Formats: sequence, C-alpha cells, structure tokens
Amino acid sequence: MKKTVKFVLAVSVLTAAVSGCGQKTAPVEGNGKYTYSMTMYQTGTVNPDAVQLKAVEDKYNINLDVWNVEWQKYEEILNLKLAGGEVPDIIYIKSAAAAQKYVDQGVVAPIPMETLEEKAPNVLKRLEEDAPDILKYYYINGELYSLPSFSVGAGATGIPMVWRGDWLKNVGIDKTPETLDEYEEAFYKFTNEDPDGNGKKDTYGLSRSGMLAVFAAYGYVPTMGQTGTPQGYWMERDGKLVYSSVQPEMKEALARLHKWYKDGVLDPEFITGENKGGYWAISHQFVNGIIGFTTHGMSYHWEPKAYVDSDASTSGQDRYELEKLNPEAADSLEISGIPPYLSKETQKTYPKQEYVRGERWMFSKALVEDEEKFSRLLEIYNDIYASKENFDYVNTGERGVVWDYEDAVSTNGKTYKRTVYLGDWKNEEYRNKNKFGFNLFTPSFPDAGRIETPRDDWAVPKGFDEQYMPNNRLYISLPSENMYSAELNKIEEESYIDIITGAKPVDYFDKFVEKWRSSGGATLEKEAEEWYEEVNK
Amino acid sequence: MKKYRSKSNIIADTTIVILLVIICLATLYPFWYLLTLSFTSGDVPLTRMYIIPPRLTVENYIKVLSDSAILSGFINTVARTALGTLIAVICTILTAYPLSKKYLVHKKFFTSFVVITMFVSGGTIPSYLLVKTLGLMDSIWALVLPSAISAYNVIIARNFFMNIPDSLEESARIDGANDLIILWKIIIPVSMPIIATITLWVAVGHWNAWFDSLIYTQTAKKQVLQVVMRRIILEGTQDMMNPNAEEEAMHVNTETIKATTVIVTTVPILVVYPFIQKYFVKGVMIGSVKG
Repeated sequence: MKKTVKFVLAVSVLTAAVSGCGQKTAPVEGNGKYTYSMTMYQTGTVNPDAVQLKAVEDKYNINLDVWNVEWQKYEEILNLKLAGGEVPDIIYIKSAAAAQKYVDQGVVAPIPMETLEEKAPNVLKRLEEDAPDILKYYYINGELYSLPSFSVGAGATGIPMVWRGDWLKNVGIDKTPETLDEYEEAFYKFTNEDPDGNGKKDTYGLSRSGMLAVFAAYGYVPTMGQTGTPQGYWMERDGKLVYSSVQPEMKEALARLHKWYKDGVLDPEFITGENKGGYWAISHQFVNGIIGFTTHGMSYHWEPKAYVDSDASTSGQDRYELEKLNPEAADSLEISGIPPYLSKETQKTYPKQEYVRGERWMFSKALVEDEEKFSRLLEIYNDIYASKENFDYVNTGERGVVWDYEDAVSTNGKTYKRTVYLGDWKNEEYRNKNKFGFNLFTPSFPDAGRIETPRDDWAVPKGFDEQYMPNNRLYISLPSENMYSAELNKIEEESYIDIITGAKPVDYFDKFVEKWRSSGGATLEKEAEEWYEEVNK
Repeated sequence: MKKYRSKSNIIADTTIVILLVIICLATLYPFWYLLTLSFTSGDVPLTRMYIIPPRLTVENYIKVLSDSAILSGFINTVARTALGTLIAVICTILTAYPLSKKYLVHKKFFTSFVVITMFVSGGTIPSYLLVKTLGLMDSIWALVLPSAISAYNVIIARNFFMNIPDSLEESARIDGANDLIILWKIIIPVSMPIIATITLWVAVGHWNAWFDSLIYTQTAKKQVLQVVMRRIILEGTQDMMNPNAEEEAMHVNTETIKATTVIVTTVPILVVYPFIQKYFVKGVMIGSVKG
C-alpha cells in the first residue's frame, strides 16, 4: 500500500516538473539586437546560414530564428510546440480556424491599431492600395489579431474554359461556343461525330470539371466539379449570402447534366474526376483525348511557355503534357476565362475575389507585450513596404546581385523584361540553400510602374482580368463549419451524383435541399448571413 | 513414384496458380511502374501507361543522387537504423530473457506491466514533452531512445526463450556459468532466428519512420531520408500549396524525379530482406507457438 502511495507521489512530482517548464523568452543580446523566432510558409527548409537570411538580419540588425515546420503537417507540429511551451514570436497561420483557436488559448495578442498606424504606415498604405478594407476580415472578438498574407503578383488568372480546337473544326464548328446551347451542340457532336477521326465512338463531350461551366451558366457554383480541394461557394443573392449548391437554378443544371449522362455525352467516369494521379492540375481525360472540353486546373496550367528560349517544360503542365502527346492539338487549344451563359442578358461579371485567406500572420503574446521589441518589428515591416526596392531586397535579394531584369523575346513576338537570377543564384541548389523570402504579403507597388508580363498579355484578352466565373464571397470559416461540413459535403456529393446518373429523379433535388438544411445547413446559412451583415454594415 | 492427380485436383491447382500469379502481378506492378517511371525521360507523355517507356535515361538518378539533401538524409537514416536497431535488440533481449524464466520473482506483475503498454500509450504531446525535457531534441537519441523497446517484440522474444529447454541452462549452471554467461554463450547462439526477426522489424521500422524526425529534428541537415522524400513527393499536391504562392505551382518536381526518389529511398531496405528471410519465417513461427 505504502509503495503505491510513493509511486503515485513520484509520478505526480514528475508530471509537475514536466508541465511546469514554462515559456522561455527570447534572449536579447547586449547591443539591443533583438532575436525574433518565427514560422513561415515554406516548400523546403530555411538554412540558418542562408545568404538571404543573413542579408536581412544585417540590414535590420536583428537575429531571426526560423523554425522549419513542414507545411503539410504544419498545424499538428505547431500545436506540439505550443503545448511544449515553445511559442514563436511571429506565427504563420494556415487556417482561420487555427487563428480562432490560438486567440481562445491566449497564445497570441491583438495588434494595437495605434501602434500599427504609428510604426507601420507603409504596410497600411500598401494594404489600402491592393485590398482596401481587407483588415476588417481579420478581426476576432472585435480586435485585430492578424495581418493578411497574400500575393498580387501572379497576374491575370482564373478558371479556364478549354476546348480542343481541332475537334471543333473536325465536327464543323468554326466559332468557339459561347452560350450554353452552343456548348451543348458541341458536346453532342464531340460524342457522336468522331472528332478524333479514329472511326470509333470513344469520345465524350465533357467530364467532371466541365460540369463547372454548366453550373456557372446558371449563376452558381456548387462543390461538385471543382478541382483540387472542393469548397462550398457562398454567393450573394438579393443582398444576402446564400449557399450555391442548394439554389433552385442548380436543379435545372442537374436536369441538363442528367440528360447528357443518359445520352452518353458526359464521361461516365466523371465520378472519379479527370486527374488520375500525379500533379493535381493535370486532366488525364482531356490530355489523352477522351473529352474535348475541360475547366481543370487554373489558366496558367494551360499557358504556353513565355519565352522563345525557355525550356518546353515551362509551358503550363497540361499544355506541356498535350504538346508531348499531340503538338497540333496543343496548338489548337481554345481557352477563355468566360464561362457559357444562357442568354446575353444573363451574362454578368462578379466582384473580384478579395485577398482574404485563412493564411495570415499572428504575433505571440510575449512579443506584443514587449512593446519595444514589437515596435522594432513593425518599423522593419514599415521599411520593407516603403518601396519596391526594399521589398525586393528582403524578399528575393538585392537587384543586380541576386537577380536583375533582362530583355527576352516572348513566344508572342514581343520583348519583355524578364527576371533572371545572376551568378551563383542561377544554380537551383544554391538558391534553395540560401533563399529566405521574408515578408507579410506581396503587394503590387503601383508607384514603381507596371512591368508587363507575357502572362497578362496572354490572359487579359481571354477575359481573365475580369471575374466572369461566380466566386466565393465567404472569407472566413464559419463557427459551426467544422461540425457539419464533412456530413453536408457527403450529402451533396451523393445527391448530385445520384441525380446526374439517374439513380434518383431530378425532383429529388428538393428533398436534397431539405435534407441539407436539416443536417446543419440551416445553421451555416444563418451564420453566413450574420457574418455578411456584420462586414457590410 | 508417379503422383496420382485427379481431374479436380488439377483444376484446383490451376486456379490457385493463376490466382497467385495475378496477385503477384498486382503487387509487383506498382513497383514496376515506379521503376520504369524513374528511368523515363521527361519528354515522354506521362498521362499514358507504359510497360517499358519509349525513351530511357539515367538522368533522373544523376539528379536525385547529386541532391545534397538526399545524401545527408541517407547518412542520417543509415545511422539511426544501425544505432536504433542495436539498442532495440539489446534492450529487447535483456527484457525478454528474464521474463521467460519461471523463477523470476513477481514474473506475472512484470509481464502484465509490459503488456499494459501495448494498450495504453502516452500520446503525441506527452511524448513530445518528455523528449524535450530530457534534452534530446535535435539529436539522434530522440529518434532511437523512445522506440528502444517495443512490448510486442519483447513478448515474441519471451515466447521464443520459453521454448528453450531448461536443461540447457541447467547444464551450463553445473559448469559454473552465471546468468550473463548463460545468456551470452548458450541462449543467444540458439536464438538467432528470433534475433534476426526482431532486427528486421526494427530496422525496417527505423528506415521508414519519418514523423518523429519531423517533430524532434529542427536542423535541416539532420532530417532523415524519408522526410526529404516526403517533401519531394508531396511537392505540387494540393495540400502542400499555399494559395498565395501561385507562381510556385508552375515549378514543381516532375513525376519522374518523384519516382526516382521513391526508388532510391526504398531499394536499400528492400535488398536486406532476402538475406534475413530464412530466419524470419522460422523466428515468427517458433515464437508464436506457445503463449
């Protein structure tokens, strides 16, 4: 008996000793040189001796302790570290849900607006230029807890409508289809008139991603048909935020898709998607000549290589795969950023997607409470965003040393300023060892003058600079989303597939809507509505 | 002597052989696919399947093997596998042998103490805190010490030792040997099957482990091979991408490089199998007969 008591005591003392180890504060060296520990988005690891890291440290007379936390297991590992009492000063956040959690746990502290205005006016100015009012989406419990993370740099891009031009010609269509009825005509001809000329009826009009275009024509985008990680779209309807998948228009879209399925126009393999493994954005069904239309991936996955002298593999992945298999087909691709419409009157554009993301920056309680250290950090950020030169220096490296512009002839015949690495930096391995990439977000710097890119010249005439595709207007993760979304997505996926394949009649859609609402959808609708009112008042 | 085979016998045999061949091919094909992909040149259309790809190249191997991260990962993995296996085998035998002796005081208590850990584990966070407070972070010890003893292996080894006749031990004792000498000179030489089995299990486990390295190792140079491989393989999958970094989506490792990395990380441990195979079956069989 006594032994047991002793044992229990010993265990509890040990436990206390383990859990008692508290936070340790970052050491400050004698000359006021602060050390900031931080996590960030990374595809590789940041080498502690990286040339770029040293350059930033020397420029601002600080030490940076970058924690290499693998991105795929990011939250899991970060949670472990937090549980062990290790809190980085600057915390990169992967999702809005995690942000809320760290606020609730008291790991992070709100950023005082006065301090931000006083110490980092340039950051606010850049935010105002590229994403006005964006900060309102980053308030939690009425206080600003995070700074946004986004990139304006990628140029005009969007979900592409991709046609096999050679197939269109083979079935006698000269004009790329624009209305949904023209789409339908082309799909039927692709199926029945042997567009690849092999004498076999082995082609289809569209597969899973092509359905996105049909839904878009009806004005809403359900989870179904999206590539990558599907996401429920919340869209504006009569001033309110509503869930796309349960809108009555979807019933009409499903009726049409069911008809196509019945007539063999829709690839029966649509259920498993167009990508059969490997890089996610590749549409195997399209590249292998099974379907003639796709919206798989993003526009830049279909873009031709930018410069005459660059390697063929720098084309967008889908185009590159098609070029290897069938160069004529790749040349004939008809790509547009404008989805089909029912009639000219129903065609419209949508407000551009805001740069609001789950990804963001937060700052530990210990850092924010150390006013001097936090102010110093904000001053550094302020300096980074003072000019494009400073930003480039910190983010990529010094111009003229690490990189520079060079004239290069594009495949479209024009000459552009291309960014090239210099000296050692040309070597990819050297670059990976010495890169860093310190920033909050990547702004456009309109005052530095616009640099023309082949991408924009390719994408803008195709309509990718405007938002023709319906897009998601909900920028946060709803409080009850984690609780319901897995079940709701399952209900939606099953109902949609059942209706399309004819396992359930089209009228089943009304039952699906009811089921969706009663399984938690109604709660989400209410929460989304409240949030929308809140941010728009 | 001619063996008599009835008609139904032949049919059954044929079915079994065909079935096994199919299963064999189904198991081999993924490996074959990766192997051919690793020798495929980048300009071959990758949306098609090939038994033998049209253009072969060793360029992928040159590129992967000259990657310094793969090289340092390889050294780290070999080191942890060797050290970890050595520690695990020593600890397992030293624990299992006493537990197999009938005259061990409180034998039941100690055995159940070992068995309980098979059902209750501390969980990730307490394990992390333990490793951290022991000061093992960022060292090879964080990878080999927490897995030094596996209860399952101890039980298997104990069962094996229990099958060794007591008289073997008694004869040594008559000659004046003490417990340690008995273990070293008598028991271990006759226990090679079980030692080989445990060695193989532990070695493969160490070779394939990555999560512990991911959480306990901070320095990039100390990461094990599997972590490096994971990073290369997962590049370009949706989960790994940051929507803010759209440009990055354009430049990811090709499928051929990924396949080569998989082959390079898997083959070394694969070639160990044939050498230990003969002990392996025997070891598990004998260990499992009596409880």
